[in-house]
Amino acid sequence: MSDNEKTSESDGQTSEADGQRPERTLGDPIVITEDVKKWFGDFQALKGVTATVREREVVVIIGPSGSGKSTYIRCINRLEAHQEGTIIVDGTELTNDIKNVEKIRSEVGMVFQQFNLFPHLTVLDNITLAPQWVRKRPKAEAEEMGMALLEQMGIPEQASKYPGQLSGGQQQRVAIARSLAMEPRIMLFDEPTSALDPEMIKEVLDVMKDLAASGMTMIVVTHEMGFAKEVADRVMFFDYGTIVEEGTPEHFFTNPQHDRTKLFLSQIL
Amino acid sequence: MTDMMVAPELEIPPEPPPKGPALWMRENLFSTPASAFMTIVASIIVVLAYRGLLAFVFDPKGRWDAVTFNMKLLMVQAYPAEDLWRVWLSVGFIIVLAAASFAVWRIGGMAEPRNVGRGLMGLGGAIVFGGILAPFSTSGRIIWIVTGAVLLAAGWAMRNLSGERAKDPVIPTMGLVGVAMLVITAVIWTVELPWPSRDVDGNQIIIQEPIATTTTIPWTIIFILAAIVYVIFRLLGARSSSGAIKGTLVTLWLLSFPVLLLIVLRDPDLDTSKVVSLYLPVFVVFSVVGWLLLAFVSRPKIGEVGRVIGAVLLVVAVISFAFPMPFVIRFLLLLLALFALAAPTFGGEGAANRRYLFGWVGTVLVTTVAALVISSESLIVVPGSFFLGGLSLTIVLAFTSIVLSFPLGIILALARTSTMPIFRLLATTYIELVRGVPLITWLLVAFLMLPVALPNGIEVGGVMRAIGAMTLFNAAYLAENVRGGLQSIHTGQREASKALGLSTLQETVFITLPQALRAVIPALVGQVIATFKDTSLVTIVGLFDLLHMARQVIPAQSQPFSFLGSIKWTLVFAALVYWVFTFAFSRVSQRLEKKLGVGER
Repeated sequence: MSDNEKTSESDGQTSEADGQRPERTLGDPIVITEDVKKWFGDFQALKGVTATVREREVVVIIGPSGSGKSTYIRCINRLEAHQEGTIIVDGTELTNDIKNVEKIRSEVGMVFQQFNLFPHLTVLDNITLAPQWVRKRPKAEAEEMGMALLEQMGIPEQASKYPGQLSGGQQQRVAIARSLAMEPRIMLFDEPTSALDPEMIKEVLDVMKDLAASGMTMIVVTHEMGFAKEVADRVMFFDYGTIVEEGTPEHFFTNPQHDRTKLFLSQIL
Repeated sequence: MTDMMVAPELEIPPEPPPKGPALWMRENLFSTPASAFMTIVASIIVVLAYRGLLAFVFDPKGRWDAVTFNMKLLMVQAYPAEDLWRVWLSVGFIIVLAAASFAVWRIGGMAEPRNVGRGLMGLGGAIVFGGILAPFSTSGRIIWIVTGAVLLAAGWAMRNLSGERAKDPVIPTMGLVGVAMLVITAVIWTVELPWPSRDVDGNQIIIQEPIATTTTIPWTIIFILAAIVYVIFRLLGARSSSGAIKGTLVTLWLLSFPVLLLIVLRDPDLDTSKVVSLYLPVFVVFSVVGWLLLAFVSRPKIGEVGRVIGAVLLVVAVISFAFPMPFVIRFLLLLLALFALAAPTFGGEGAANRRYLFGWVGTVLVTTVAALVISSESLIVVPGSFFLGGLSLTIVLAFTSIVLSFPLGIILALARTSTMPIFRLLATTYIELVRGVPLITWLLVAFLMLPVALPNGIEVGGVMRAIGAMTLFNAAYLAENVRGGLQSIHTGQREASKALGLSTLQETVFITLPQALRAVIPALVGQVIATFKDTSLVTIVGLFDLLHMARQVIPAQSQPFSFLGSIKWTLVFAALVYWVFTFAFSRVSQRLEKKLGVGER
């Protein structure tokens, strides 16, 4: 096993199987970002980020706060608009054209740190709202799919409760189900477990692990290093608006190269 | 090891807390000398005020006969006597519909005996004190004191004799309502109210008369019908909560106001030739053409063409206002444009699409019928420009302007918080302009300047002008209330909606507005209450609303009886009527807030 292993060269390359991670065949590049730059007023949040994510790949993004990791993934589904560079998602370029944005948003699901469930709707209504009104599915079909997703998440009995009646871990699982109901090809996770009590982090991470095993392309911003070690195909370290270092988890956690990476890891591990 | 303390028995039986009226009075009313002093002063003020109130209400020289004799005037102004059955039909319909709705939606839970007992004790105590303080004859005093004592005893019994069960909610609130209705019915059949008359010399005197049977019979029938309907629907049990019944009731509520007002009360003179020559063809053409157009525009692959068609229709509709043509056609064009623009969002495929198209046909039907009915002459012959007056006019003005100003206010609020500068500018200008001028001024503008400003051929009646002015005025205030609610929504909600792919319109209708409106219910209800009372301003522009009757019409009468100088009593009555309505609104608001969980996460 060589150091500085970068897994973004040829197609069809198998991810590193090291006994912990299941084998997954990676597909074609599905998210391509080239030299993406973003300013908030005078402050430059992204200073030229170039990265490629392949289909079925699980990429974990780590870094200190303010490093641009959330901004980066929010640019992918146009919650933030990048000013320079190109972002291509599943063959469609992300521009100001609302059609492209809508097309991309229907392929990309997002899970937020604060869950952002709709408090005035029941859990099942939260999940079935978008499939009914965006994909125009009939109500019965949407509800069937919603209940199947809730079973997958392990909380089918919560279907007619309101989000305010659920625990944090349950709410986040509902949020994941809500995104999955739109049958996305890519899932973005913005610090999904940072607002959870420690007891509940495991249940959400288990769901995410199952999702990864089923072949979903995932880009996860998180501080959960255990998750990264177990599930990620690649880890990217963000600092001050750029990718400082990226590599497989083995490379990252046993043999980081850059000084900033070493400093960051020493603070959190 | 010497400073250890061993706790005594782990299971000390709990004692009841110290209670009792003496203790409560000592702690709350007489705790300090200053508190005791204030208690005494406040008690004296309360007693004096109560005595003054009772002296005014039961004043032997009081002119309450002005109110009783003119009750019809105060309620419906000069509505012809032979058509009064229409009024009773409308009132009865609303009350019976309310009874059915209460039963189907299971409104009114259970009350605890101790609360009911407390209420009874309060009522009994007030009556006993009233009997002591009021200027009654001795027999009157005795009746009052005895009645009050009985209620007091009953309430006390309820509180203290049922022991622990006093806290169990077992008394149905609707049962209490039924008892109240029974009591009211008994009272209206037996009580005697002041009435003007003439003595043998021709002088005007006041006599005591029971209420006329033309009033007591309809009310009794309505109460009985309401009770029967309520019981029937409750007995149906779970079957009554089916979607079909609820849907029917909701439709009845939505149609009740326009149908009762425009058809039942107004009795329009329908011209069958006009129906055949104009309204029927309009209905058919718009239904069919609209159906085809909307089916075309809501196809999923339609893309830009759909939006273009909607925009073109909108332009055509606006231009049509400059050309002479029946108003109904202009309005239907506008509606078709709006439906076409919203079709991609709300239409779609299969069942949703069919619902949308049927919704269009229903809208055309309602609009055509409404236009037909409004443009027909009313067969009710009444002096003045509008067929209703008094309290009925107040209700019509308030209800119509509230219902119309809600959508307008919401649209203004959305425009003011929109990302597009032009909408923001227009909305802000409108709101600040309208809010900067008092309602009276807008009413005068509507009445004096509107006829000059409108193009030829459009004539707007007096009441329509008042409704228009009040709608535009309320919409500005509503817009600010709703904007406050919109701004309280976390941006995370918007982000989640966008990430799911909901369009801006869908996100507004399904996510943002429901939460925003729920948050501002107290402010909205306050607005409704203010609007209801603001209707009294139309007295300035010569409309005969409740306040106008009480203030100017009745105290000026001299035939057949003179009611000069009765203004104090008519105004108190009008104030009482306003209070009853606004109190009902605020109670409804409290229930609504509790049900929707306002203020909770």
